[in-house]
Amino acid sequence: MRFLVARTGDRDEAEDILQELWVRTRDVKPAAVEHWRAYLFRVAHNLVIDRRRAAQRRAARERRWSEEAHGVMSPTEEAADTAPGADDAIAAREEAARLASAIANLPEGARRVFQLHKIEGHSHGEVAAHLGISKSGVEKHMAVAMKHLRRMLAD
Amino acid sequence: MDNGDIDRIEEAIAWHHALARDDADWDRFTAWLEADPANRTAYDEIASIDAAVDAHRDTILAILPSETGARESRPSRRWALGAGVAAALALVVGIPLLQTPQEKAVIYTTRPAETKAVALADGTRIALSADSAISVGGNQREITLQRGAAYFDVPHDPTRQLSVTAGGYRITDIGTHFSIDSGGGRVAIAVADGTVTVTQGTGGRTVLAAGQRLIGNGEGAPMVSPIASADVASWRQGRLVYDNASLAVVAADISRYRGTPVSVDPALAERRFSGVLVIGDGTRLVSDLASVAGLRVDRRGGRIVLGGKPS
Repeated sequence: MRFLVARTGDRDEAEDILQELWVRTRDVKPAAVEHWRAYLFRVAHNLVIDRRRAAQRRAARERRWSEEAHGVMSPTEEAADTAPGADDAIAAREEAARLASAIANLPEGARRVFQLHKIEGHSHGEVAAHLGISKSGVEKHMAVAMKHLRRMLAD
Repeated sequence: MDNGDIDRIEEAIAWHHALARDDADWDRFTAWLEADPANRTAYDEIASIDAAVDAHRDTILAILPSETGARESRPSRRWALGAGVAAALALVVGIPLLQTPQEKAVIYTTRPAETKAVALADGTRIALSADSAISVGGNQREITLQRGAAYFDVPHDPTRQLSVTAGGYRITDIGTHFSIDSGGGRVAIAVADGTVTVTQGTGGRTVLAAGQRLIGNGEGAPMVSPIASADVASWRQGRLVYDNASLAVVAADISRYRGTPVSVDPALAERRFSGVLVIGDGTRLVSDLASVAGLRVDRRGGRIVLGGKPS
């Protein structure tokens, strides 16, 4: 719980997530306490990230809806409920295209490492061997890539 | 942005990397988050970008030119495909539009811990899970899941006669997102959005809508139960989500991600498991399942057998 409050910065949300964590793991019996703890942390951590993603998608949908249909000033409460699935598919494609173009615009070294590791799924070790650089070099490039992406994707 | 913010972002990136490890120090991470509320914001930004990239990996892969092979100028430095479960390598395969009338079915397979995206000419996209196989034939209108699991994104088009077959079930009237999982002696068909019609070999028909899942073994009446849309093909987000699944099914899934056979003591095969397993590189799945379900892990040669704990 302390982790969730720290992670979300919001006691209510932390409680919601704890509840969800409980629902998802209630039929599971803890055997080895050490692993159990790490397992709960990992699942809780993933739930928080899922929620952030869902909130972002909702915000993007409401923004699009209000801009297209009602002008920027209108209320958006109903918009979220009525936006059709096709709209989501378009939004997903737009988000993907935006990410792809941001990745394509990374500095060359960082771009190659990021693409090999994150997009094409090779391990750090494989990327290092392929490019003839050290594993810590791969990690540095990954950090540079994340920093650039963050700046490029900031609204 | 001042230097403090840049440091913070670097710390967030380092944490993001560290938390993916088995021995992640969650207490220190919690302390770091508590040290300054801005740390949380920085971490959220990094984790969101990472999650967004993961969610759209297949599409991005299709958009960007491949970094391996095609662009490699020196053919002597061939890309070595990592053996075992290390790499979850994804490839996009496009099928040419024009095909001869007597075309043979094209078969797509993935190795353990590998995923693949297949794009058909009509806009249908298929994500193939680890150690899975589909055949695409009949002018791209007949798809068969031969083993493993796949997720289908089929644009709505009433004039198209696409059908997907898996373990005695035939899926038609598709304009939707749905997944099929086979393994552990059963087939599960789950709809994330839209509807599909499922016909059983013996003639029974079921219309499945978004949020519904059909589970059956090809004989007898299948069982239909609810499923959260977000949990359909959750492996695409790096998780295996189970709701009252038999251990045999869970073991079959884990085998596909590990690349080594994992079986369950027959006495426990029907025991139920509900919970979430994080896939990662596949190596933690057995120990995670064993520790949360209270199972004993026996390694017999190359096989792993999950048995009950002596009580």
